[in-house]
Amino acid sequence: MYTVILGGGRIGSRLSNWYLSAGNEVTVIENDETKLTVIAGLLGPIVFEGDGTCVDTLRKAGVGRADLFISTLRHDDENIVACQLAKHKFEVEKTVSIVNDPEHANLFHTLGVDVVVNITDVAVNTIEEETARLMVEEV
Amino acid sequence: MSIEDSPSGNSTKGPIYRALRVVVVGCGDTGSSLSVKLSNLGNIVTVIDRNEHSFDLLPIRRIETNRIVPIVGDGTHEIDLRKANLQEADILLALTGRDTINALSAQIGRHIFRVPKVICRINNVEMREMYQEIGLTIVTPSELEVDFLIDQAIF
Repeated sequence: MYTVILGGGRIGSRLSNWYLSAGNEVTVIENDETKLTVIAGLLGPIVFEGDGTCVDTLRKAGVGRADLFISTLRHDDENIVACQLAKHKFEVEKTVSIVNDPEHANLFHTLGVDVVVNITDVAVNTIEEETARLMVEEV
Repeated sequence: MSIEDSPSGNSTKGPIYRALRVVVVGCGDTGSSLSVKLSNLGNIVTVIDRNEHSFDLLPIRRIETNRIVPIVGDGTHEIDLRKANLQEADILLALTGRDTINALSAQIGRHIFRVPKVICRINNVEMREMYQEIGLTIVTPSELEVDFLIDQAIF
C-alpha cells in the first residue's frame, strides 16, 4: 500500500513510522525545513518538500498512485483543500483528515473526506472515559 | 426598454430591484472596493476580516451610517459567519488573499448556510478547475487580467 501523509508534525511522523514498520511505502509532504530534517533523520528519505495544497507538489509526491492520503495539518482550510485535490484531481481511493475546529467535522464529511478525525472529540472522549472510571471508583 | 415596459407585469414605478444582503469575506483591496460599490447600488453589505485594521480601507462614513457593517472575525468559523448574518444573506463573496481560506469559507456558505449565491476567489488555476468541476462559482484574477490583455492587444 502506498500512503501519502501531508504534514510532518507529531501526528504525521508517528503515522509514517507506523506504516513503514508495517512494510508499506510512505511519503511525507512537509514545507518546514526543520521538520523535514528530523523526519529524514529518523525514517530515511521519505520526505518531499513542498506545499501540500499545491497540485504540482501533490503530483510530484506521487499522490496519483497513492491508495491512501492523510492530511494532518493544523489549518483546516489547508486540510480540506488538500483532501479535495487528492480525491478529485488524483482520484485517491481513501482520504483521511484531521479536523482542528470541531465545527468543520460535518462539512468535511459532506465534502467527501472518507475518514474525519475530530481531534477535540478524541481528546474529550478520552478524558471523559478516564474521569468516568474515577467517579465510579469514588462511589 | 424602460421599466414600465418590462414584461414582468409589475405596475409599480421605479426599478424592480430588491436590496441584496451581501457578505464579503476579506477586506483587502478587492473586498473593500467591491463593498463600497455594492453599497453604492443600495445593497446591505457586511465585511468580515480577521484584522480590524483592514477596515481602514473602507470610508468611515459608510460604517458610521451602517451601510457597510464590519465584523472582526474568521471567515472560516461558523460563529463569526453567523455574527455577519450569513444565514440571511443572498450572496457570499470569499475574497481573501488565500485560496484555501476562500475555498473553505465558500463551501461553509454553500453547504452549511445554504447561501443562494456563493462566489469564491481562487488564484491557482488547477485548484480553480477542480472547484468549478464540483460546482463552485470561481473568479481567478490572473485569468481575468490575461483575458483583458489579450482583448487589448488583439482587438
